[in-house]
Amino acid sequence: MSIRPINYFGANESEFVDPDTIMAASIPLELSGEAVRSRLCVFKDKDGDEYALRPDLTLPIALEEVEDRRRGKTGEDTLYYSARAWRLPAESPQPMEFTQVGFETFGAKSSAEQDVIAFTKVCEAAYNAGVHEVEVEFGDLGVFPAFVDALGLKKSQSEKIKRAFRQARDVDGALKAVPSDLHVKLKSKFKGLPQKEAESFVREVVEGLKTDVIGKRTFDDIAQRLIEKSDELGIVRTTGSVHAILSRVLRVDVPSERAAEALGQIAKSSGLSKLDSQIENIAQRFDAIAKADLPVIYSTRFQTPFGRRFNYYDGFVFEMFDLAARSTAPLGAGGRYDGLLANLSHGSVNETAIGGVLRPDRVAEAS
Amino acid sequence: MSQLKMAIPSKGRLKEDASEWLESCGFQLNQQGGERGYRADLEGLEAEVMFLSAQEIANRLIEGKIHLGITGQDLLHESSSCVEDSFTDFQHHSSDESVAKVIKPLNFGHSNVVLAVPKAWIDVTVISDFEEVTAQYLAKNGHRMRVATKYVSLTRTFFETHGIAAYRIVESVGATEAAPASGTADAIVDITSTGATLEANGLKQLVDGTILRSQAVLAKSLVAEWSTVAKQAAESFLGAIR
Repeated sequence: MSIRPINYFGANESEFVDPDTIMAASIPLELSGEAVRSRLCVFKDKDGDEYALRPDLTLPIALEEVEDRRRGKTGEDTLYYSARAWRLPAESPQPMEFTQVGFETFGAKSSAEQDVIAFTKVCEAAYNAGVHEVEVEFGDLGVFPAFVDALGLKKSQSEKIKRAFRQARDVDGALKAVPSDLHVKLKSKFKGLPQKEAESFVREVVEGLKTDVIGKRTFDDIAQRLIEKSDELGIVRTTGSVHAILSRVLRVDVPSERAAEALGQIAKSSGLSKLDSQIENIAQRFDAIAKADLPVIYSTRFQTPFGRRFNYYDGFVFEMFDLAARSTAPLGAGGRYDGLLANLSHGSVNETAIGGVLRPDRVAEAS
Repeated sequence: MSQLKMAIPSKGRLKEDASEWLESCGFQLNQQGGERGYRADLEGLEAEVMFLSAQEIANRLIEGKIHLGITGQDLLHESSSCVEDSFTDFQHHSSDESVAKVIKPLNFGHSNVVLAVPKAWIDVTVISDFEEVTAQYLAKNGHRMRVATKYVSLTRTFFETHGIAAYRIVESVGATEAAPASGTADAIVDITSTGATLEANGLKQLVDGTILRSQAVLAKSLVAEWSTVAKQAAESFLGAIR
């Protein structure tokens, strides 16, 4: 039985895709980690291999796009879908099986203009489907990492802070991480030591431990990390101003048209350069959205931490909530995930991606 | 289920220690049908007493199929995140939704659930090292580090508490400590009492890598059907063991 797709986005029939329903469970698990397992509908075959029902449409469409690009596809392309997805609900009243209607655009320039096009598409589709007023929450998952980079911290400390941010953990904890006694002890041994000598030293120490169990890490990995750690000791203590700046960035929660101004003030008062293009991009994006005067929008807010737990999104993100229903479940969402195709293809396909989606069940409630 | 239903570990050291403890509280355990029988009488108590594996006891307490049971704290917390336990520092759930409650630690069956890595990883001694190494491993290899364990739930909770995300679990059904040597995982979460098995397999426990300090406990089901008869028998038993 073929089911006619819900065509919120005015696509031609030929632009609709219906990707595979089932995928190897290792794909979403590798991409998002064990935390996503509690939301996946997983089953095993007779050999014990695990499979998952697609938890959304973005992932299977991105997988097919990777294959198409490997086979030589180039340029910009927008694909539309209207299909079922399966996810174990985080809260009990939500259904396990639901329809998503949306689009994915691959290979377009990663720009404020494209962000606005994608967002406008979702807003117009919601309006045409009968939704009257939505509150929109915006985030940009590139903002916090850009501020961290601008601080000029050592690489492993920057990475630790960024990871803490994405896991909604206390960034302060990552800043104040006390170096282990071992690293303090080994500081003089490894500081400035050439990689090769460091590796020989590690081999020697491990031989003394009389073990050949090392797992999939190498002596080189261990030596490299010890060199890095010895180089960083002492740096981690300079946390006062870093903490103050990052806390201010995290607290930004303003109407979206004031986001660039708020972030710009922090950058300026903290003496941080190299953030101009990031902030200019935000200014362009939210100015354009404000000027578009989209009829469905009641209010918009920008919050730095918004969307940080969203799997595989890495830039502009949004969710929209029906004003009247006061629901905590968004009827529409979307954003940029420029790193996803590279991630799925181990770097062999590197194309930008942005998408948006509406949930017909929630649209129906709202309209 | 009108009569009090109680379960005791069916074999090994845990069974012996549980029997001794009951005896020390004044309850002589008489196993029906000899050593292999799975039922018993507890002299002085109106109760249906059965011998089950420690895992089965944990399951039945959580499902409300027995009222009281002696089992391992590790098995209770692994089997449900809704076990009330004021005798552990493991971060666990405690609310109206609790399904079982630890009444008394019994001071035997001690063992710890720990995170262990190859001792050749001389750059890794604490959890924050491990977190960093898992992230570097993912960045370098394009896939997440494997952690072998039968304590899937405890591992997930502990790792989330400590911000460890770049890992995948390999469920192990036995000989977990051999997983790094055989190449199926890089790290393990397993139970240990002396650390000798870890050492023999080229592994070391992280300094702050104790996930749960476990021992045998007497626990009560909060979702079982508690008849007046069962309540009275339990009260009399609990009064005697205090």
